[in-house]
Amino acid sequence: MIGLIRAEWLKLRSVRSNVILMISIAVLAVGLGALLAAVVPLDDPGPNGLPLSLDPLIRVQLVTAGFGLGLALLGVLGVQVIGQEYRFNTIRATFAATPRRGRVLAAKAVLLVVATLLIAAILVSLSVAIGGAILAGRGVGLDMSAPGTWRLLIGTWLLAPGYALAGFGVGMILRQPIGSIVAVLAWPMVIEQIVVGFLTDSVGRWMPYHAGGQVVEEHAREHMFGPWAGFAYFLGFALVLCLIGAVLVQRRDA
Amino acid sequence: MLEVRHLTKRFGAVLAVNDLSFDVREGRVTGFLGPNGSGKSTTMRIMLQLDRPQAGTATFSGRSYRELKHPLREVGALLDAGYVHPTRTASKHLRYLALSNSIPTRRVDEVLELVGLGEVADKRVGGFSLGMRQRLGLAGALLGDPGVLLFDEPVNGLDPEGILWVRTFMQRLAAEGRTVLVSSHLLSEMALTANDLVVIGRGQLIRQGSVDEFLNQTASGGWVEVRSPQAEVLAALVEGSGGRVTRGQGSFSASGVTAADVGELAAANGIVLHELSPKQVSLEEAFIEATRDAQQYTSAPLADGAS
Ligand SMILES: Nc1ncnc2c1ncn2[C@@H]1O[C@H](COP(=O)(O)OP(=O)(O)O)[C@@H](O)[C@H]1O
Ligand SMILES: [Mg+2]
Repeated sequence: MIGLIRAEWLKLRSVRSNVILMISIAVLAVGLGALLAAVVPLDDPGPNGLPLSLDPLIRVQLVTAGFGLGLALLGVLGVQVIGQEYRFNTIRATFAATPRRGRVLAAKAVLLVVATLLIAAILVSLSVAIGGAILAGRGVGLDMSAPGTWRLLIGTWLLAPGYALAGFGVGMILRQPIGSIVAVLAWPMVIEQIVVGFLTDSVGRWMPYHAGGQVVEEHAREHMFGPWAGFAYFLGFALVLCLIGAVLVQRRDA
Repeated sequence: MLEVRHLTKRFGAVLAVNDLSFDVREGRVTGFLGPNGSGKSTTMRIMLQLDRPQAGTATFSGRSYRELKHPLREVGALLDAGYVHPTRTASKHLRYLALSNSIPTRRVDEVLELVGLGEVADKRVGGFSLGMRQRLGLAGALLGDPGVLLFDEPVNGLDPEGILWVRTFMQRLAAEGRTVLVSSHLLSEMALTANDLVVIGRGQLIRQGSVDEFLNQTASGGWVEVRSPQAEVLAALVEGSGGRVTRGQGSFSASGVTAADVGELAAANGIVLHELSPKQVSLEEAFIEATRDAQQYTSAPLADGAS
């Protein structure tokens, strides 16, 4: 199994588009927070009616603002791990080398979880360090002891493998990367926004990405899951997608 | 030994492989021959369990492909040179395959040298010619030093030099005692490369045996063209000695007898010969004859009564 995971890691980093994607994720996730930390006015009232200088949690949300897009792009990485293999037919070389397909899929899943946890740990830390330094330079540093701060940071970190696994599941089901990428970007950012906006009190809470996102919300929102219940629901959703995908991959011709 | 038993594979309404059974022996090159669309590639994908058949099995010394712990060390396959990612380097393509089957990574450099790609090991595969990709595919097949090798139309798109190289290579692999199965739609190619033949048409087995047997059994084998002023007399004599005769104008063709038989008959009876030539059925003719009934797309025969 170690050999298979190492093989998957080599596959991931030996394809140029994956390297470009990972660099983009890093730049966007860290860069957006740093940019906002540098330009957002400190004394205008924020979403809670308080100016930034008096609202420590808003400042943490600000420096981690790039993770909205960053997490979605980790979903794309999850798609690529399997979608590219189908697109370029390397799936046949892969399954000829390891005919027990479940083992290949498990290796990919383990790699995704470990890699995204590592990437997110580094990027969240960098965002806090860089964004925090910029804010400190403007006279209002981050207050790590403010209530909710650690849930926000750890929640962001733990959402990373959830997004990647959901993308992996969609990639296995659809088998072709373009459609899968559109799906994992448009679903959370367009469809769920509309559904949650219009059907807040009925199906809104069951929208998986929104449910997962509750873990980084300051307050539990009406009609929505609580932070960790929502997170668990989202993770369950991602795992179900993976399970459906794995069954389909096993059954179909490679 | 590779045994195929009662394979059947349908793609929707298309019956690609139909109750196909055959054996592939070790130490020989076995040609897997059939017209385009006859189910060769499908059969080979099923052998590697890439495609799921509706029925039947393919086993390697009694074990199915997924029962092989490290399949690349027992079965090497080049099904399609296109199974590579264009932005990956040749060496990394082989390295991930090696990692997945616990093959030492120094073997990657060895096989790249072996197929003549040592120089471009760290170049992206996207820039390779078809011939180079074929060689990379071959390197992948040889990576685990397997005893069984499967090649699907390996000379397609190669220049004559490349074709000769692949042909010699396969014969060398068989001479080392390996089991080699190589598919083609050209009998002439197989006659030069293979020892044994498995001939299929429309997914069904037509014949299995040595190349020589195939050529001898197929159609009428050979015949003798005879021209003589006394053709009628000689034709009757040939028939009398057990030959079969098709008469023409001052000539006839005889089968079931050799040219020497006919010549001796003529001499013994004082008959003048103007022509006595032994004819062989060409390889392609033999092949077309054998697969005629199974051909999916035959060209329409010229209408007999048209003139
Ligand atoms: N993935 C597929 N989906 C649908 N039909 C297929 C597929 N693969 C092969 N076929 C059909 O099965 C038949 C056998 O094809 P193939 O095995 O490629 O033949 P060969 O390799 O002898 O040319 C053909 O009629 C082909 O169109
Ligand atoms: Mg074919």
